[in-house]
Amino acid sequence: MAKVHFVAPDGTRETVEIPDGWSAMAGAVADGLDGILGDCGGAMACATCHVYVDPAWVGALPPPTDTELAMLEMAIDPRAESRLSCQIRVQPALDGLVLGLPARQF
Amino acid sequence: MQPHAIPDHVPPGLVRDFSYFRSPGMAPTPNGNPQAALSFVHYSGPPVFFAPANTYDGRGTWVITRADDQRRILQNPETFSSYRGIFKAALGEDLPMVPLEVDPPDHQAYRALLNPLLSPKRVDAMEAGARERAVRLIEGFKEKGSCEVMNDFAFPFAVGVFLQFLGVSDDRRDEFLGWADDQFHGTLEKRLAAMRTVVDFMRGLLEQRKREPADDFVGFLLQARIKDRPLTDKEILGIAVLLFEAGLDTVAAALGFDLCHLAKHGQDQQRLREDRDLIKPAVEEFFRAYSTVQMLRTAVKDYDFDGILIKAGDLVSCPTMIANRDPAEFPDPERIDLARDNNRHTAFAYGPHRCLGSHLARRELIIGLEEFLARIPHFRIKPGTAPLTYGGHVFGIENVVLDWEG
Ligand code: HEM
Ligand code: FES
Repeated sequence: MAKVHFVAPDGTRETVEIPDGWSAMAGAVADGLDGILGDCGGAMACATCHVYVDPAWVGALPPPTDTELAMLEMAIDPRAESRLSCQIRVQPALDGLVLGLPARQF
Repeated sequence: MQPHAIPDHVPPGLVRDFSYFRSPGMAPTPNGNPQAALSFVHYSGPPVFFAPANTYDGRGTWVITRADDQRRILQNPETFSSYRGIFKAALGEDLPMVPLEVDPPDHQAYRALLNPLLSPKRVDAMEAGARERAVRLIEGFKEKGSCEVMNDFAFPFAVGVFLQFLGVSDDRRDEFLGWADDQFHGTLEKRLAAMRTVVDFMRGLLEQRKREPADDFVGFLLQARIKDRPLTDKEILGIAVLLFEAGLDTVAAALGFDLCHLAKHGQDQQRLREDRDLIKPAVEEFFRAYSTVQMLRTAVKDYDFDGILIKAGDLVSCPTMIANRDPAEFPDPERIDLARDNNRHTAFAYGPHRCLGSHLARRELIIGLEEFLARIPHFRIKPGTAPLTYGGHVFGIENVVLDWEG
């Protein structure tokens, strides 16, 4: 279980407790969080689970695969710290993870 | 066509008199609302049921009504395959539609290849051309004070954008339009003939690009490599034909339903005129309320769905128009709320086959509505006419005659 903080573009922060082994996307969707859609259920086919990883946390995550990197091109306004939250596997070490939400997912 | 017998493993209590083709509101209906006509399933009877004759060729299907249950099915491609031999049945030639009829894990490689072609950046680059097409069409009928949305606007617009995407010259637009019309609205024979024509056209394009390489869609596919080998001709054809099937009728139907709604609901039309920023969320709400596509899967092994046995070989239908009116998912689902909050509709499906062209589709709808509202004054359904709606494998609308005062 880890607490993951999702920060909207206006600075509003919503914290979701996500079980270990879940993806951050699945946790956000189960919580009904506005701002993460996850239309493809984690198949890396939609990029509607796009997040900006807080710079302090970028190093804590395993680097993206080539498929994920390519898929980030399908997201709106990708940046260097962009990730697909369906590819972020939650584990205790990620307790306190801060993920920025993009202004829109499509 | 004779309905097939109900399979033995289907409990009689789960059989329902239901069909996308014959249920009330599904046959061509003047002033119908086929999406609303099906939402009764949420309020009576079991959430998963068996409809004995529910395909164009009279086969039975399971129908999954709840959005959450549909996600479970669509998330499980190991059990519920999207390969159906659509073209094999129709043309006697096995031409799998790629990537729609390819199951994971192979699916991913094709998707990864195609995604960049329809990325937000690509769509941005197509925007100016698409907008110009919309403007030209609208200016062409504006002075007449009337138009028929599908033939005068929605189809020529969608076909024009598709040709732009393919890199095919506009000279061929009318030819394309004819095939699209036959293919999506013709009799069965016309449909088959049109499918063959489309396949032949794409094959011709492929041969031409092999002789004269060009930096366009087919040129890209000829250069592309998948798992360290080039695509086969069959794969290239399967991709090109799928894009034709997936990206024309859907966009045109959405434009038709949306403009019909705005013609019938003057207040909604007025709100969008006063607040252009509302067009985007409104397009999403229309995608939800007027969805047109069903995902059809074949069980490849037996599956226990909360105690219901779905047997290998069974067809399972996940209709977006029903999930999108699921009261468990959408508060007050029958109400069309242009500014609906947190609108997680499934008009573009769910799971690995989630629509590849959604960025383009959304942009086409936004451009279409923006330009129509900016150029045409208050419009209504022309008195004495009635739009004709229908259900079926993909829902649609025809004869949307609008008029306005010049
Ligand atoms: C309003 C317009 C559209 C709607 C409602 C729509 C809806 C859908 C749906 C529901 C699916 C999933 C089908 C299934 O899983 O059985 C799908 C798949 C697909 N769509 Fe769209 N679509 C639209 C426009 C487009 C456009 C414009 C294109 C391309 C130019 C496109 C290309 C595709 C492709 C290639 C697939 C298959 C993806 C895969 O199998 O991975 N669609 N679409
Ligand atoms: S959920 Fe679709 S890419 Fe992450």
